[in-house]
Amino acid sequence: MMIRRGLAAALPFLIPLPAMAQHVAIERVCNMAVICIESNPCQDWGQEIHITEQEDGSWRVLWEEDLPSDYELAADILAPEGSLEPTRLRSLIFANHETQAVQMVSIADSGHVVVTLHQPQARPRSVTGFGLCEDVDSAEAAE
Amino acid sequence: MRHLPLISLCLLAAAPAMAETGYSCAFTVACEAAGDCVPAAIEIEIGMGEDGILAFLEADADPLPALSLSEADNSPFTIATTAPGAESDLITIHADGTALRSRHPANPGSPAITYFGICEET
Repeated sequence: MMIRRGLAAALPFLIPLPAMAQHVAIERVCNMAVICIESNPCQDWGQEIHITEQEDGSWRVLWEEDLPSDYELAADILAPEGSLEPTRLRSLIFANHETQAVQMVSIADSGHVVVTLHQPQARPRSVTGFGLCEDVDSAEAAE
Repeated sequence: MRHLPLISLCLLAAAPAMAETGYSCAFTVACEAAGDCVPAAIEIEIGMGEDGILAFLEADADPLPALSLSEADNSPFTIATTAPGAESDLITIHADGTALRSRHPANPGSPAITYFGICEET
């Protein structure tokens, strides 16, 4: 609860105002192709996740049906004016109060996605995975 | 009578340090996503005061407001911050002082990086 209050208080500092006015629903399916565990060599992963922005501006990241999926938008980095590439990056945070683990999922408009988990009470303490996302409509059309 | 101004001076001198505590961190290993781990020499400061948490990620850049993701007065200490136009950062400091800093750059040509290091309370 305290963390939620903290999120609400700090969000205005982290999110540029123009982005707050935009509430475009997003639904992407992401293939996390590679996982890197602490300083070990990275390896193939193949995990699929679904990232959704609801009409009310809230975000969900679905790993498995029985896992928590409500994430908070912590950063919205707009593409520079005149940018030739779609470089807008949005970072979503999930903080697990019981395990003290924190996960940051960053999705770029280019389709790239990065996930980092810091789990202080477990080993490995850090995991990063990355991959590519597609809009669900275009992914379904391709099948 | 001469003791009173001295006491006042001591209180005034101590006030800024009492208002601002935090961490000084040195990260010595950098691991790129899908890349190798290499030695690094990155120093950052985290300040905690009445105005909240500030992250000093670059020596010549403005401090960045940070979002606390951990319970107050509790280890581990985890914050998230954003360098405008550049990246999102997740930083965790464990009870034993070891620390992680993960960067998610907005530039698609730059890979995500996790740094490993040590922090001391300031």
